[in-house]
Amino acid sequence: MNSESGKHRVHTKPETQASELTERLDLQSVRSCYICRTCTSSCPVTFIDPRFNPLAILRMVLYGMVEEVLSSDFLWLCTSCYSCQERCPQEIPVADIMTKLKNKAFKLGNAPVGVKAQMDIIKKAGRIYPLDDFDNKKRAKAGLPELPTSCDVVKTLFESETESLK
Amino acid sequence: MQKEVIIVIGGGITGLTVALELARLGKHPLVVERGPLLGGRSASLPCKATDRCLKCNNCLVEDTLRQIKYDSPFEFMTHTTISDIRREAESWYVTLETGPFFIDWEKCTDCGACYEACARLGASGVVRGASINQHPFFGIDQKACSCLQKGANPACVKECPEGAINILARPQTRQVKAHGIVVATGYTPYVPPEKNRFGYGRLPNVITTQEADEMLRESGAVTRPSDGRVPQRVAFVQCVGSRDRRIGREYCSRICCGYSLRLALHMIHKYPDVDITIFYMDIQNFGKDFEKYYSEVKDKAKLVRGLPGDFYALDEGKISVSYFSEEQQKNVAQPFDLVLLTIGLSPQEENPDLANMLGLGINEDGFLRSSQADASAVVVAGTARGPMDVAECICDAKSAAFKMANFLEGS
Amino acid sequence: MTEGRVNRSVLVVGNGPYCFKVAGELASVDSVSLAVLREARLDEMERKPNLVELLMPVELLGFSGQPGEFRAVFRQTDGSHAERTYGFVVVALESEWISTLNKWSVVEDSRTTSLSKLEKYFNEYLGNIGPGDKVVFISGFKQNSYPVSQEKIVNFAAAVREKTGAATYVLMEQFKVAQEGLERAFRLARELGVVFVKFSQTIPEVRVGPEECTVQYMDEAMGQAVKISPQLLIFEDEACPPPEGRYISDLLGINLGNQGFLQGDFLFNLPIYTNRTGIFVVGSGKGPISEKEAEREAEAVAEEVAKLVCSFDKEVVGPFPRLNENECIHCLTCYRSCPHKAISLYPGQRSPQISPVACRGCGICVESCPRRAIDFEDGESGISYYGIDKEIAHIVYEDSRDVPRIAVFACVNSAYDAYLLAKSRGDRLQARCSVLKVPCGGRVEAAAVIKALGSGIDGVAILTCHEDSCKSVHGASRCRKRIAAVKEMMTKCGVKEEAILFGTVAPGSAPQFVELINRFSLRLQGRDGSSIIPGNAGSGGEAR
Repeated sequence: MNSESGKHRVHTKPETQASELTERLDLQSVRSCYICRTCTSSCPVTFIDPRFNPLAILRMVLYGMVEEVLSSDFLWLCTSCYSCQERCPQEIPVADIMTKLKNKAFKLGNAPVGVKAQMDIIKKAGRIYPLDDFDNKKRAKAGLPELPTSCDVVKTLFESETESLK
Repeated sequence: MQKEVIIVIGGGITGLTVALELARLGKHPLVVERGPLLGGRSASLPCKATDRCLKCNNCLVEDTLRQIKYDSPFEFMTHTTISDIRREAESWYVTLETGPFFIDWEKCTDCGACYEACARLGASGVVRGASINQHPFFGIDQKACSCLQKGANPACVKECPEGAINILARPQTRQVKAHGIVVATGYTPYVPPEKNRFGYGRLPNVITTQEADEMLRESGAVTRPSDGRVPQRVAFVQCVGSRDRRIGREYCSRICCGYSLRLALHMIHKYPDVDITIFYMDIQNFGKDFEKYYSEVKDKAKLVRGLPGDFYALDEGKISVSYFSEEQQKNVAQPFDLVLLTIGLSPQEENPDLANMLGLGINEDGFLRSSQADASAVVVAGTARGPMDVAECICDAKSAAFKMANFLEGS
Repeated sequence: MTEGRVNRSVLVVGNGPYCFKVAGELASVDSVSLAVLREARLDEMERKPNLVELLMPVELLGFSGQPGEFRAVFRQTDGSHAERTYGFVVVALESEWISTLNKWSVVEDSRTTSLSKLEKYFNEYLGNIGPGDKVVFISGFKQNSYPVSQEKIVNFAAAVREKTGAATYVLMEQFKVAQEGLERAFRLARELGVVFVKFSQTIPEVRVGPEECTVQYMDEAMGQAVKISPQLLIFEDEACPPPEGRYISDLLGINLGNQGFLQGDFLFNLPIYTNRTGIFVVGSGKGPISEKEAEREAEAVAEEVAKLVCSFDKEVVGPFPRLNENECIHCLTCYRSCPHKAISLYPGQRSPQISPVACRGCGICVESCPRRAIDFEDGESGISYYGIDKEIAHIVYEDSRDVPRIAVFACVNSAYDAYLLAKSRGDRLQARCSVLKVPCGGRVEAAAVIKALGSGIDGVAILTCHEDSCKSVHGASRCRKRIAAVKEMMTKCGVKEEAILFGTVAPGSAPQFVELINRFSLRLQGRDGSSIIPGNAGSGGEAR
């Protein structure tokens, strides 16, 4: 999350808009943050891709820039490893907040193509990496048992979609 | 004229100062110290001067200890705990237990034969003062006595030419009637739990600043535990055990920025090639010349604003520390020879029991508070009340002595 | 001994409400006179029975004497002079909080104000703020900040947010949370919705003009710039020393700190002392402190006075000097040398008088007297020119030539303790040492050092406390200069200057003592191959 230092000017949003979305998504806990940077320095993704910076995301939410986060691509870099949440000295549920934001962004149709594609594959095949007969033949040759090529139980989970995704 | 005895619980810098002042005000303090020696934690504070005094306050401690050693102004008991305490009418009836394994300091001549005997066995049951002004200079750490652990008679007892070492079947008890109590039980340094991300307890070259202080005092230098060498790259991690809701320590320990930054300046002065990085959240004020110290630190050390995430073992005892670099705007991992955890001051575990026993309050951070009712009969002073440095403890002790003396005069 | 003339009353010098509190505490000890240099509100003060006199406002014109008999001259509002005698003095001046708007090139108006002004008119300011408005607090950047003033900022910001619902921002360099309950207070304010912004690399830009009032800054944690147009912009004040501080410190002969705050930076002044026995400093005049801490200091100083009243007891371990009037030539060297101003001249007295109460036994006067008219009561001549021979005799006639023979003058406050500890620990010294205890480096006579060398031993070491933590203020530095002069003289006489070592040692630091002596020993044996190692005082190195 690099700053185009100074070129990107932001006026602080009127309070009302910010708090509405923040409240609805129950993100008030971001307020406790005292900028210790433990989340960011613990984040394995920030090592690899500096576009993802948990602290910066929390600050954006704090400033009421939730929509910007929801329409961003960097939000999806979070792997839900929970290092941030485990270590936050203010006990802010950082990973859960990322998940909430991702869910909302998905609803708004902002998820990267890959995420949608993954979802479709899981729906159809019950796993991210779809197996077919070719794979099962190879498994038989190696003396491994056959695995199912589809999983209907998983499909039913999608059908009983809960309110939280709205 | 009845002697007005005041029991001072705790023989650290605060307790000793209270006792000194009360004695000079004509009262009769009795210092009760559960450890083997007087002086508390402050006795092992090292001097951190560079080419100028950094006011780490250890001179003040030495001064106080010296006065007590040469003037013997008050009565004290070491290796002693309080087993019972009762309030009746206007007095406290206190039962003190000494030992059962202890050195009778009145017979002790500080010859050190016991210490040598214990050292020959490779054990540490006999402890020695960190400062020559601690008197008594030798004492017994019962828990560390390897002879007792083996069920044998401790070797030091025979070695003592004065027969000053007692090992009794039961602790020696003494009943005292006191008119007032001063609680100066101090704090306990924060120790990271077994599972901690810093590698403390796992990686040999991750130590606390308290351990570094003791090392500096004892040997004159801070070196790597793994090979005894002078470190080239040192990391300080601030606020370990403080300002942390997760571990129930939502307070700033006040003195850590001071003592750790002084240590950093001292190390830089002594070993000009050393490279020091300080990971911090906020720098607290310390000393009256704070701005001068702070600009010197900014000049000579690298200050990184943000606490590090992971600590991994590398070859040769080095530690990889990962943190967010503001300049590069991404996470980086750097190797360090030595990591110092700047630990905070935690309230003692016994505080709730003590509070119960004496009718004291406990504040939100777990430190003791003088109770409102009958406030003057029991006064809390020093770090038992909350984090403060040595000079503040001394001031607090004087104020406590004043309150106690006033109370006695009034009653 | 001026026992008969001992006065036990206390003079409190103040400039604000705090001095009344201090006087109140002291009044329970003995009679108190309160001299207030400015008009101040009296309602904090209950009329204590022991308050003998209240002089307000008053000007302190003159000050002299010693503990137990300080003399102060005042000029009162009606122009008349009043002269009083006191046993002790407590300086309870308060520091000032000065507006910093001018540092930001901002003029105060309805949109901009200082923290102290906000405090005074809080409800009025609050009345003008509504839910859609923005309020910004700025702390630090152009001056250091303190927990005391940040506590105010946090409380006001929380109140503004709670009562008006306005968007509230607090811009800070550092969160100064080192005070009980402050970390929590900060968090509670954040939970109310106050946005705290921290800065390491940049500072906010403030633009206030007739048409605009904006604050623009880089939110470093977010990596984006933010611009706010607040309806109310509040700047933290700067803590400044009391304006009367310099004048009072000059008059009373007490040290002043670097920035003009009282008490000086001298370690042994902590917590409430000055370089003069019987004169104390309490309160924020030494630097901003919280109200609770100031209260403790008031109690602590009352205890100090009570203790001194109880018995003119001192905290000095050691003998005291006495002056031989027949030898005294009235050069006033002792008077000028005393770091504690314990030597006074009285009209009608033939010679200077050393106050036993104020004297701390450092011996600087003994060394400085050109006629040797001052000596210690117990005659510790062992370290003087006359006695040094006998003291070191036991190593002079040593036959062992495998290690050098060194006389070590060791200050009782640092090096001597270090030596005792080294001995107790069994640390190996590579020299035959005669360690001589001195009350202060300032007591070491050049003549004694030279005589010691002249006795035939191999080297002389003078080890003192670090210069700026010398208990006698300038004792160690005087010693260093003296030894440097001795070395220069010695080289002119053909004696190698390497035979004399001046070094500083931390109190009781056995490792430093051992390192210094052993390195000196190697040098004396010509075995270390290097020349004199330049001054490295803090690690117990050698200084020239």
